[in-house]
Amino acid sequence: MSRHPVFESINDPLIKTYNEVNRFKINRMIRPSEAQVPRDTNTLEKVVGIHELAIVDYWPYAFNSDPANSTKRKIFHQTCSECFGLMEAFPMPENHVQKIVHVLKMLAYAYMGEKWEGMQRYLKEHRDVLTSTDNASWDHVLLADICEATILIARKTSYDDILQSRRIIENLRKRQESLEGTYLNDIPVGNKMRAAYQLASLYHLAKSVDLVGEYMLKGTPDDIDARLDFHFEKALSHSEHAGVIELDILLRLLHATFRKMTYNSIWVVAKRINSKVTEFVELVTRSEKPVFEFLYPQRSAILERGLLDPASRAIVVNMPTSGGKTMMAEFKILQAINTFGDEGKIVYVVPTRTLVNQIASRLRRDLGVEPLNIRIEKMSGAVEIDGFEDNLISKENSFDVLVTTPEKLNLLIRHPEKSLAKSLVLVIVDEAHNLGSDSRGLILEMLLSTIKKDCPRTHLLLLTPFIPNSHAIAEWLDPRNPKSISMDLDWKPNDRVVGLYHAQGSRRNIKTLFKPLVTSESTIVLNDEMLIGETDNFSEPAGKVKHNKYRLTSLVATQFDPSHSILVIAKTIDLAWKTAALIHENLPSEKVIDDKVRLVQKFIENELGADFPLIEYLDKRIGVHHSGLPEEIKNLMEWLMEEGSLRILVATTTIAQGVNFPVSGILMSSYAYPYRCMPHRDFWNLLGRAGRIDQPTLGVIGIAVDRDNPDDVSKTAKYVKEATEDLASVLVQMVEKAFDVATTLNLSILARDPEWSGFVQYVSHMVRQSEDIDQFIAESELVMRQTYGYDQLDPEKQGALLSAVRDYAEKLDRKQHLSTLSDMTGFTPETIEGVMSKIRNMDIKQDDWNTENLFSSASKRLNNLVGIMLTKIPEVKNLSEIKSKSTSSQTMIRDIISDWVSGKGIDEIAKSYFNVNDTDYKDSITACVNAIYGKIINSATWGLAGIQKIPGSGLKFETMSDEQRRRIANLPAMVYYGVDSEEAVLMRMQGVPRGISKQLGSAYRKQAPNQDIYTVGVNDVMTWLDKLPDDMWQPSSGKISGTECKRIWRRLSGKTEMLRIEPR
Amino acid sequence: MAEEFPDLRTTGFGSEGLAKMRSGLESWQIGESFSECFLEDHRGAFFPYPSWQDLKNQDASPAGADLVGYDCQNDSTVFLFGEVKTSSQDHHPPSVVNDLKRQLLDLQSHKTLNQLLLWLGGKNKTQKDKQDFSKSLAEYVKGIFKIVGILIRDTILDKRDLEDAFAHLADALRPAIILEMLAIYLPVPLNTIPRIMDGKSDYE
Repeated sequence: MSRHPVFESINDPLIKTYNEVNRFKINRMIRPSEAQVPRDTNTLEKVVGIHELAIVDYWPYAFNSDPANSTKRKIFHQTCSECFGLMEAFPMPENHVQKIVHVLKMLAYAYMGEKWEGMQRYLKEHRDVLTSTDNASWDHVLLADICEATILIARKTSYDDILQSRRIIENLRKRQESLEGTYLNDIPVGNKMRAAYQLASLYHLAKSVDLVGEYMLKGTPDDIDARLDFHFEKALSHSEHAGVIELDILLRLLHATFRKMTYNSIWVVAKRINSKVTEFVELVTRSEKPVFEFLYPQRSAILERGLLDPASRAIVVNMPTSGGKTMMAEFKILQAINTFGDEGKIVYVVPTRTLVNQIASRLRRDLGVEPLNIRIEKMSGAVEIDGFEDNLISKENSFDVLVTTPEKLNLLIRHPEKSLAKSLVLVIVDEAHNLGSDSRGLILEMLLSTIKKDCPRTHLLLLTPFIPNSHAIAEWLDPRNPKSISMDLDWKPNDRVVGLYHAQGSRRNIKTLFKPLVTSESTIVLNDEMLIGETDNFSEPAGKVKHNKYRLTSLVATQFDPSHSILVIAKTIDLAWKTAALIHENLPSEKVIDDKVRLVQKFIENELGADFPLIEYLDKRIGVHHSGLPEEIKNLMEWLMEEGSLRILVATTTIAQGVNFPVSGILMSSYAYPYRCMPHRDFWNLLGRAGRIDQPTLGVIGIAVDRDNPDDVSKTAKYVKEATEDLASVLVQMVEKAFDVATTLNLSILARDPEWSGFVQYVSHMVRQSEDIDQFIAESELVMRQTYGYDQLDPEKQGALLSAVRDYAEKLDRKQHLSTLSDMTGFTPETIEGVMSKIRNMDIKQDDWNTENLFSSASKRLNNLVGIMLTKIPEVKNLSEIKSKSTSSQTMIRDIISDWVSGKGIDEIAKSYFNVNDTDYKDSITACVNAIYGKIINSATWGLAGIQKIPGSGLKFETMSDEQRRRIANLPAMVYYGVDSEEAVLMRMQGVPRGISKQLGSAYRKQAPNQDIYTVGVNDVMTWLDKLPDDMWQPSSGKISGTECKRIWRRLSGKTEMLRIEPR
Repeated sequence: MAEEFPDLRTTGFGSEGLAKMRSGLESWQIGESFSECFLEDHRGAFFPYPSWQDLKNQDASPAGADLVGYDCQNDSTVFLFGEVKTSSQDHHPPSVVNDLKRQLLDLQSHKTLNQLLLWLGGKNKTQKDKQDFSKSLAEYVKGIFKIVGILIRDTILDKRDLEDAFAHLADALRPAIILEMLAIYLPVPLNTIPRIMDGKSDYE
């Protein structure tokens, strides 16, 4: 980006200053004791001064929308943001008035540079900027108190900050009478008039602060801008008469700042839309963590770039992590509810189970409360519809917003009888860059293609971290009026630096160094390396540390300042454990362990036994997070991270997907996924977690390199500097790959490949939706064009794909029932045929489908069903990766399912099935968790639910009552949740830990024996659980108390985040 | 003078206390106004806004300057910063010249100048304001701007008033800075000017 011409003259000092400031900021993060404010304050001051002059020179262009000035405007904002960044490193002036000027200037530059959240963070860090003004003269009292009131409305960590700001101004009004007279009396006669003008100017300024405070609280007065203009004009006119240059400058800066503050205010949007939005705004301004102002991307998207424009059917919002996407989605939801009322349904699609829970509890907290009372429901990530879910979609008006995964929504839309398609008005797709993901991209693409075709009135909002071709995605979804809102180029959520770290030295003497490569602030490159630390007592010698990245990373992790929380990325689960162990070995013991950590330790002990190494690691505030840990424990690790209770969290690269906690630094011993390179957008998405807006310092991201291997260094440096790739359709890759091994495409054969299943099902669904085969053939090209990938194929392959689709449709035409079953099960017609032929001879009875028969130990029936899954259902093929050394996989899977449903603990199951030849205990837990959470709960649940619906399953749904049907449908859910009663499933749905869900389920049933548990609302169950005395939460066995168990539940269910509304 | 602050009512603060304040014209104000007019009429200077000395808050920032504007010669425009001193002292140079020297030297400080330029730039409104400012800024970052020292006298003309001071400053200021010093000798005593302005004097 170009700069203001004044910088040409100071290129060298500019680079030097930026280097020093960045070095200071990085040091503050790594080695605070070494972090010296830049030594050459004179040069720093000069460089800041030049920035200020550039700012004032382009000021006239900053606030008009003339396109001719857009470059100057951008430079203006950029310069303000840089100036703020430099001033952050400036030592706080000691002189009281200078301090005020310094802070207010920073405030103004932060606002002009679209960095207000940076200033908010600065003010939280520097609570000492406000000093007492006792015994000062009236003019100083006024200035200091107005400054304090201004700082409070800028900081606004709570509703109370703003109330306090207004109180300060009110207090000044009260003190005027007693202080003003004495002050003016003491002024020499010749200066009295000017002193009076100065006071008058300050009174107008005080009023302006008060007005902004009122606006932040209530959104009134409506004509806030005109009023601010009036008071500032008066204040400036008086200050001219007073002849105080400094005041004149401050007034100009604050005028612009206050205008910006009210423009950013979330009340602005309330005025544009209506009732629901106004209620929402009232709620969020009064919540525990209040929001008064939009972040730049939110404001820009909502107010300037038409996020809420009803004419756009599809909007792609393309912005970095932590830009406040969820709130944008909330506004979109409110707008849809305003427009469609109870008639329309909204679905919020997220990629993982964890995110289903997180988003659902966030939406319940923000939208599910009085007076909005929007009904938020979530559905599990399982590819089946359980009894409770069936009830939800069968009942009219049972929910407004549903949070779920793409796989589930696919089933809900394609459902032959209870399709959501007709009532769907808005679908929000979070983390939409997953369209390009190898494993699940196709499902998402097919889902969106189906929505386009089946639900023409549904609006789509796709939220994604940066992808360069977001407009192409928007064009695919809505060719007539595509809208993509791209934020990444002109807004960075935080200051961060990405660099490489390596080790030097010999024997025990090891030095670690950091070389910055890319900073978010500007293109300036820091050329020199910075010392991270030196040691002679690390448990591994220099030779090993230098050439082994997990050892290097472990050492560096121990050297970071303990007050910041860092995320350490390892390539595999095994390396994650090794890293955590090495860090643990080399860190000193913590003196005090906070009670949250203690609580989690107890929970882990209860679940996995006292020997599980994570318990010991937590003693030193080291956490571990990877797919070898039970979901609940991963969730608790995230909680400890959010709460700042952990110093280090060691995770695998897969954490790049969808976690949502902030960290100060990230150390990556690898930037590759197992078996392949991490796409750049995943890499940058992960990096977005570092130094987030609510984090106090610069985010530092380091990647381990072996300095003795120049190839490694240059490859890593190149990777970091490469641009994010365009998002390509997975369908295109699949077609290309298929042509690598064959000359034509045959969908009946390709259907055996799980990768193709989603596409084949899409075709099958579209055939079913057509009136007849002729109509489908005629429209088949249109059907293909609904997908994102078709247009990207070359004409020859388009032709081949199209003819394959037509051939397949003709074959399918004779077997319409298979298409219907495909839509109900999420299997291809080929899978269904295969299963049908197999179960036909099995003589399965309706009686086989009850909990006792199906899940009893050594159940023959379950054994058969697992066999079908392993041999006939490619969609659940990953079950076959569960291997047993002593028995057949089929029997082992059957036994694990049976134990899992009966409530046996992970530790017990691990010991029974994964503890071969004295495997390390934690490795057997990892293998067990991988088998259960990674495979069984998804695939076996899906497999069972699918088989139930296929003729030959022995189930006669048409003769069953609703309740019977739901009971049957709940069997697969028992596998999903690992419990053996419907009541326990209900408890698990509300986040109750597995170990206590059976007990609480029975208690729930007992208190209302005649109640139909399918009809109870989420809120009723939650309230019941919340009110349940602690002693009822005491697990019958185990070391955790009832109170502790309940606390864990509160976290797992998102209950602790409930909104607190303060009285007005 | 309550009419000076009629709008204070809208702030919630009282205006009675301020309304009692009065002040007359000071001799230094006369000197500054006189200098501005002189420089604009005769030396190609341009002052878009009356420049005022930093009255108070001396602890808040470096001192200001009496004159802040532009010096336009042919095609070039540079910032102009000036200090004005008035003296009736019958001594050559008068003692105020020492202060003048010190103040002009201080004007080299980037802190002071920065402050003045933020003030001046903040008042840019017309296209010409913006152009003058941008042009002068481009010169300023190369170190080029003008410093003017003015001595206003009601004594007889005497070269010694500024001779030494000019030589000293020409040497002490950074070479890129353009220095101009002027002494203006009034034909009437300084203390009669307020009366002349009020039409109460015999001088024409």
